[in-house]
Amino acid sequence: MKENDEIKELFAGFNPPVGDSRNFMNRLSRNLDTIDLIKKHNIAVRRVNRMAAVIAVIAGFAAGVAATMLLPVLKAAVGTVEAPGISFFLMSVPDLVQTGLWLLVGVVSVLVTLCAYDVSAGLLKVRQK
Amino acid sequence: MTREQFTSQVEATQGALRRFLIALCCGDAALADDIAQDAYVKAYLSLDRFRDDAGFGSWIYRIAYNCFVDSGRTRREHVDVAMAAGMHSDELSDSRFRYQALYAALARLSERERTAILLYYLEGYSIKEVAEIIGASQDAVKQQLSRGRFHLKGMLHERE
Repeated sequence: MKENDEIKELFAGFNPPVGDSRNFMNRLSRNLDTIDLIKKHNIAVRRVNRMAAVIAVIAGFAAGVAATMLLPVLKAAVGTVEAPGISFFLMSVPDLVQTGLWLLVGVVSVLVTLCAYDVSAGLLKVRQK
Repeated sequence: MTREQFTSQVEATQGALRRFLIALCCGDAALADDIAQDAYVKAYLSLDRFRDDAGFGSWIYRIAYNCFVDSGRTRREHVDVAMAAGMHSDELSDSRFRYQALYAALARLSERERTAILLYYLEGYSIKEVAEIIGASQDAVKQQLSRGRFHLKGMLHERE
């Protein structure tokens, strides 16, 4: 117990000079300003990315629908191909044309989605500035 | 918690926290201020995780203790204090070296012992609160306090 009191006494009068509180608060305030600025920037970037993603999905979906609607036209166009080697090849694998055309629809949708994301993100960033 | 509320909490706690850190850094006020700034910045960044029931005081002390451990400058401060302890007080300003003996004794305690001693005796936290701040069990804190007391007393008596 005595030992405890001795240590307590040791710290009772401990009051070292801590430097100017105003300077400390000013320095902290500057740090907090920087954090707020970065936070704001991050929120804005997230918003732009979310908007760009929504636009890209819509554009990709629209491109997919448009390409699907064009499928009969494309199929007919493939049917008119007259090169004997190719015709024979297409006739021997009946699903190949269908599969190839669906693949084409998929590729077009993905490409449009990616391009739409890049373009809309760029435009939104410019608009934000 | 808004920035204004945070700032008022900082104003209320910064004096005590900086004093605690000066003791923890064995008198290195510049290092203590850097750690205090770090602690408040980290606290501001993780305000979302702060629960009011935890109490801002013990929360900021926990962050500050972690910042102190992370700072990894313990070895340097030991050297500085050892050098300071070897100087005569008339060589340097009295106000700076008023606590020279105490700092030198604190510097020879382990980080955990020093933190436990300072939180318990300087800041008046209970053993349970000290355990929460330094992330140890209450039994471990009791041991650290006991060892710290023993070492501190021994070293201060040595100097007398």
